[in-house]
Amino acid sequence: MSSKLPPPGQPVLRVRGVSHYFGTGDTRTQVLFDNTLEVMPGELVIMSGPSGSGKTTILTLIGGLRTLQEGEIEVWDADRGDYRTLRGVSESDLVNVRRLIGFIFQRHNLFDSLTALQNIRMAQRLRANGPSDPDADARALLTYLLLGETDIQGKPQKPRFDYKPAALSGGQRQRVAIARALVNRPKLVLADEPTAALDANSGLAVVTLVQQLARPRPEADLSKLVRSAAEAGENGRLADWQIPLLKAVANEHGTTSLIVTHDARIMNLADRIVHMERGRIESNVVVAERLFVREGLRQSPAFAAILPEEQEKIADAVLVGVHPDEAVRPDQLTGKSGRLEVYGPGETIVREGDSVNESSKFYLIRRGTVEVLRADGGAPKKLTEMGPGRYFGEVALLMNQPRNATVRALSRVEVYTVNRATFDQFRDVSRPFIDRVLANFRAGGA
Amino acid sequence: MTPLRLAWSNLVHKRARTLIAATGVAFAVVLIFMELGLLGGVGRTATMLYDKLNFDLLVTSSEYLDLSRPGAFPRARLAQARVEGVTDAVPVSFGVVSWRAPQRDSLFGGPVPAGEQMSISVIAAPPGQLDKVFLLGTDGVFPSREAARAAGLMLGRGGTYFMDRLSKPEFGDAERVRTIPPDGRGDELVRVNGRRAEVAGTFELGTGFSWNGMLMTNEVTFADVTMRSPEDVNFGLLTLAPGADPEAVRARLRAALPPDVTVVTRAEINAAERNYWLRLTSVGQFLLVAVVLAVVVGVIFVYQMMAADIRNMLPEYATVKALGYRAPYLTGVVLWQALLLALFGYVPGFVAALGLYHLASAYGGIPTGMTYPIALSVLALTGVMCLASGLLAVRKVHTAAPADLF
Repeated sequence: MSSKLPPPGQPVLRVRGVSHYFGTGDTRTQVLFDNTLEVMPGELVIMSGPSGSGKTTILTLIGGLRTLQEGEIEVWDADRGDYRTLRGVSESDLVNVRRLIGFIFQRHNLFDSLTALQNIRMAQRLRANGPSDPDADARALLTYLLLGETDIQGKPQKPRFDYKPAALSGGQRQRVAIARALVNRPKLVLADEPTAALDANSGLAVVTLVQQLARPRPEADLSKLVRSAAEAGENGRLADWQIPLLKAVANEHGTTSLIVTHDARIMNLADRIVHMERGRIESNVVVAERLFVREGLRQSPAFAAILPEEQEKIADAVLVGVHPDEAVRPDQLTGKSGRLEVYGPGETIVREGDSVNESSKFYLIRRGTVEVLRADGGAPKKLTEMGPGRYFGEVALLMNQPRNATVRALSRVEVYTVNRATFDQFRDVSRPFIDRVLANFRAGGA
Repeated sequence: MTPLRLAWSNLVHKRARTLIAATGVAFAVVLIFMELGLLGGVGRTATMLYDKLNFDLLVTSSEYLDLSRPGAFPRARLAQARVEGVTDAVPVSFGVVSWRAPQRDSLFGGPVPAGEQMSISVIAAPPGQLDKVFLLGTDGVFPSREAARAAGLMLGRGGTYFMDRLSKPEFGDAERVRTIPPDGRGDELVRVNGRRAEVAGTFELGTGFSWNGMLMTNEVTFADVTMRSPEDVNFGLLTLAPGADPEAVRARLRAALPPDVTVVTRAEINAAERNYWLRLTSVGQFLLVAVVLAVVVGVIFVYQMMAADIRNMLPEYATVKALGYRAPYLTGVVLWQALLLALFGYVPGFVAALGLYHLASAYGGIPTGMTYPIALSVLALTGVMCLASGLLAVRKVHTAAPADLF
């Protein structure tokens, strides 16, 4: 990797408390409300939400295309090895931020008077230490995107390098614009419906490239994309000659992409899905973490019988946007108490005999180890130890009786918690299933 | 992609627009060229007569205003002017008389009958000294000393004139007028101030803003026909001894001559004449205002073209900003575009001006000519004109908001 990534555990992009207003005086309207978001290096982030929800506004603020009014945004500058802040900076510093970013706009916005290569050269010219042969680099990128001398079938075609936008189709223009955005191998890509105008094969080429720039994929994964047209269907395919070219052009990794899209092909590849509603980030879901929580919920009889979508909703409600490999930091929990709780070694999480009330919770262990102790009137006896992915605390809630054991942290422990209200909401749905489990529990456990 | 390259690409890409813009610039360029050419013509015709007279110092009346109102002084001053260092003092008179035009062809081919009364200038000098009075040679009034002497011999006769071959055609073709006998030919008669006259020969001087045609005669005929005292003259052409210091001679002349005359150098009379025509008459001012107007019209036209162009390209300029280009880059693109337009307009404008100058000189009798100072100053003015438009238009580029691209 030729350029530096942020220190381990640190995000490539930090958005804190960002609010934004349009208009002045009486017409001043707030469009963003106190948004906070962190994106880790190499993440593919999908921004979702209805139009007018503020996705685009937040994208333009991150990209330094708009002046930040309230809150803080920091973008990692790989060349400087430090963050660039967007708060209260001059236009000239905003320009420095823009140079760190690859923008892909919905409309291609190519220069009509310049050829495909010259349009790309416009971006290359701004990179201080670019490749020794920028022309070859641009040609390679365009060739990979099926605008070179070879088509998807491996047959020769007329290269589009020296075509002006007017002579290119909408999809071809969009691919030139994508090449322009990616040619400097930016560490952050901001895109608005990048694949909307593309056919299946070009779309796949773009998505695969964005992903490969994020992190290299195993050879086997890539070769699966080389398939026949019949096999590929609407998902598109790559030609075998594109694979070595892909590896050549995706010669840097750790690229983070923020993409506004409704394209399922990209959605399925997302590492993080940020959903916005009415100017607020309603959910910030790390897809892998969501899977982890769903799997945990599925193990519990209380949630096993409910629909996967409902499980997903519960999961999304408790997630705080932290990556599965990372421990949660205290600052990620501020303002989100009751979703994820952290206990130190020896701290009691649930105490035997405590009665349940409205604030009682169901727990899913995210990190660390707990021990389960039961006294039964005598000295507490250790029943078992539990690690990540295991849950506890649902029996008391289901039976509405005091806790039947004590759970204590053995190490630093992070637990997701589902509150009583959410829990009860699904109790009726799960009733028959729960009854059967409870019968087993009473028969065996008592 | 330097700003110059991008500017060039933009202009080449939109050929039709560029052509229209360049035509607009060319139009303004032609206007400026014409005004400046005419201005130059005014300056040149103002001193044309003096350029063709031989003198080291010139005696004029102290009431001298310009060539058309020179004022007169007594002939005796010329004798007084023969101070130490002055080797010769020749009188010259200049006036306006009426001329009966001969028959000529109209612009559309039909004959215009003779008899029209016109004003023509007449210059008078001692016939024996024409070779001293006038410049000789290819650019001179007479081609050689011999020709001047021969002319002097003929002009010695009363009622005899020579006519400028370069006089405007309505005065009649000089060579043809020469053939008309004193008694006339049909209804063609040569009459100066209503008197019988004979055109015995021709010379070459040229026309300008002060006069359209010129006759030459001897002093007696001149005094007779203009009814002026033969004792009055308009100019005294002084020749200095070789090596004489003009300033010292002038000081002596000032001491010797009464205040009704002034002694000036060639440079002074030329400057005074130019100043009179360019600054004091409305002709010069009018042409200067016209230059300014041409520039203003050019600025407005080019600004309109460029502003419309920029409006169409706003998303592209916004993209350039989003890529991370700074404001000066965009300014550079727009200003280069303006300068290239200036050049695209200047070249055809220059060529057109050459043609128009030729027309003006050949048919208008205005000695316009392309000179380096005119070519360069019009180039500079065109550059300034287009840059001013560019600077006005560049504000539009800076309104390109990259945030609107998403």
